[in-house]
Amino acid sequence: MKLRCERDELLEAVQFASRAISNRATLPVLSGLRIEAKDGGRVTVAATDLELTMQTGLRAGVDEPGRVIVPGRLFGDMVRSLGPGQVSLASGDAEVEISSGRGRFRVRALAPEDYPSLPIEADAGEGFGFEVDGAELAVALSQVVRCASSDDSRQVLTGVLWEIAAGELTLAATDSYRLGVRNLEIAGGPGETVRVILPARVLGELARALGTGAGTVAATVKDNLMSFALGAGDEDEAARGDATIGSRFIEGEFPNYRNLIPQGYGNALTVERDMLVEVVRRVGLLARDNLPVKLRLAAELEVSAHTPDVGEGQEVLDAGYEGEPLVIAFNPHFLTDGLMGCRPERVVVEAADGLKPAVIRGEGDASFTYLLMPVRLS
Amino acid sequence: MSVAEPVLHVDMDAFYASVEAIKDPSLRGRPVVVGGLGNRGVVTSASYEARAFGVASAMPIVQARRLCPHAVFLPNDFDAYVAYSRRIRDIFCSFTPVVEPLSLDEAFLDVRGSVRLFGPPEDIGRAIRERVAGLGLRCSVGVAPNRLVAKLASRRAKPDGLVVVRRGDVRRFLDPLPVEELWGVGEQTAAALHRLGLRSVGQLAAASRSLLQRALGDVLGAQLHDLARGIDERPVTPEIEARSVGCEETFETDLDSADDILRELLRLSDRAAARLRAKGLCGRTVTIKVRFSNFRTVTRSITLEREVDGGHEVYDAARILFRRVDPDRPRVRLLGVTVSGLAPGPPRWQGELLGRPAGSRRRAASLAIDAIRTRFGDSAVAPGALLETRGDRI
Repeated sequence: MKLRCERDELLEAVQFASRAISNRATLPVLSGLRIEAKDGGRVTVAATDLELTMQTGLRAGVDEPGRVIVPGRLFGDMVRSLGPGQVSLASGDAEVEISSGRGRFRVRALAPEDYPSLPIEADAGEGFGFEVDGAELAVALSQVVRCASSDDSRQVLTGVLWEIAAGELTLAATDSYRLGVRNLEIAGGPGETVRVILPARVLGELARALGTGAGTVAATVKDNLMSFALGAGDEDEAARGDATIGSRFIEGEFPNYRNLIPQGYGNALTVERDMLVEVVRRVGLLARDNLPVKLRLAAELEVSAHTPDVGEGQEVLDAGYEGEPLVIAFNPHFLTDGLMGCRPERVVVEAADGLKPAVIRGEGDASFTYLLMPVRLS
Repeated sequence: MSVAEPVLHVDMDAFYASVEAIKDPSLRGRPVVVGGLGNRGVVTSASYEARAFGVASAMPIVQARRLCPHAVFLPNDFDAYVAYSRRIRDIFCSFTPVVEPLSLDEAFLDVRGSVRLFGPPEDIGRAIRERVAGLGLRCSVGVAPNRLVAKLASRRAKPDGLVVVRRGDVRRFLDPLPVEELWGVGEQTAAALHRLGLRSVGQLAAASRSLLQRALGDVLGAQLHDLARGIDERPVTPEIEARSVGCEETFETDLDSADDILRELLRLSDRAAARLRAKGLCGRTVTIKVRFSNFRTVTRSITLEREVDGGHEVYDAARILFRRVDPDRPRVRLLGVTVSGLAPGPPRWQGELLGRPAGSRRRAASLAIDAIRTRFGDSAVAPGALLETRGDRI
């Protein structure tokens, strides 16, 4: 393999793909980056931990096609340390040579025959695809992924449910204390609803890669794998380097979340989202050691917290309220997570009593629902 | 104002036995022995009437029965001892905030800040003795320049006395004592000192420091040399709040089946949780301690997602922990269950969307059990698994 490219583009590609390298790689060869050059100037950089696969392309002049596995961390450090300008890469006998300016470096390569075939390249099984707006997907992920559990003892809950139907996608995640559900439109999709669970960790990487995400994401579901091609149909596609993120599913049955969402409580509070977030953060400073903030729902919303031996805080803000005044307590972080997930400037908090889950939605926005279990005050 | 002898050591006389005599006045003036009553039990406290027959603390109960067969033998009633200990501590604290309890029945007090209010340290010692006598208990008080001498002075004052060792008299007081009286001198150290010909504290004080350091090591040698000369600069440190709540038990015969071990873990968990609730606390970390018959001792802990104060929750954790220990060869001599990571209770329950057992109902049951036990005694209610062991039938 022999190729020439710009250092900045190479660095970007290496940094992207390296995020799939696990610190606790099960196979030594998985600590490597796979660089592959094909005829016609198509070069890809990829890495996988067998669950998450990240691959991206870059523009290069290919003098000799081929494939090489470089030690990921060292290679990344080297490329980063090079000055801007053109970089040449050439692979010889179990070695890779990088030259830039007047410097030449050789590093030992990893055995290419040991490197597994990338899950996103596997050609097994019938699948289907759909397209979704990148910016909308980025928002949806920011709303839902944080609701997933970090407790590995309940694997299914460490993932996000993707409920895919023709023209419609529903994302749902719960750590059993709260539930986030988001509906969004898609183009295409399967004839019958398909449910798969993807690890929250992978979706965190997807959200990160999307950024504020212009363009369209093309998703493919096949076998036990879902892959996302970023920037599909984007005019600037070549520059973005057709990045692909692939993920295996989490096996198991996701809880029936629809049954958990209550239909219409009598008590509904409508309040400025940012004001309530500010107040909960301020008062929440006095809810230490996982203590809750207490909300007294009424036309004058009172938020208070008390930590023994530390102190207490209280603040009142104006709100619209329908129903009986009631007191309900929440983990302040869970509460702000839900409020911040709502996009409209005003949010509606519905509650039955201090024990049943509260429902938080943006005013006039049915696309996102956040269910939050209160903290019982005994 | 500088106070030459600011440290008091207050040591209760035959504390547990005396508390028993308050509970049952007919015991007054009789030999009373308190301790574990099983074959492996040891004496935790003996009244002076029993001591006259040679019964002493830490003696196997079997030996005590031989020495003093007509004594009244009673099991430990720690709840009562804790209650009286608290009342005694309240008395100490009414004289000075600087109280360092060593156990239920002894404490150091630093009274240098209290002399303006209450007079010289020996007057405070006398006042404390009167107040303690008002509870129906007796204590001995040592007054001295530091902790070491105060403790030795209270020993000298026993029973029911008060000894003051003035700053200038410290050496005279210490010199004739055998070296074994000093802190840190156990059998081995004593033997090492005897080999050097050092039998009294005075001889130890006169010995060269480097000789002691060669014989005992740098740290211990220097430390003992200081102590022998009456130098002890460790301050009286007020009690820090409880960091853990729990209980442990040594069994009369080793437990050798997993069923028995789990049953005892349940009993201990239940008791530890009841103590938590009684103190108005809850905790997040559960620790078990297991001592096998060969005295190998292991501890395992787990930090739970949330605070608990219920026996079943503590037991659930304890059971998981025991599985991590060594369930193949369970010959267990001692078990302990402790809850730490304490916070003021009651625990707050983060509700869950996906059904798990309703915590609040279990908690209500725990509180009802506490109420019943307060009224009818600890054995009035117990988990079903524990009933059989008491021979009860439903």
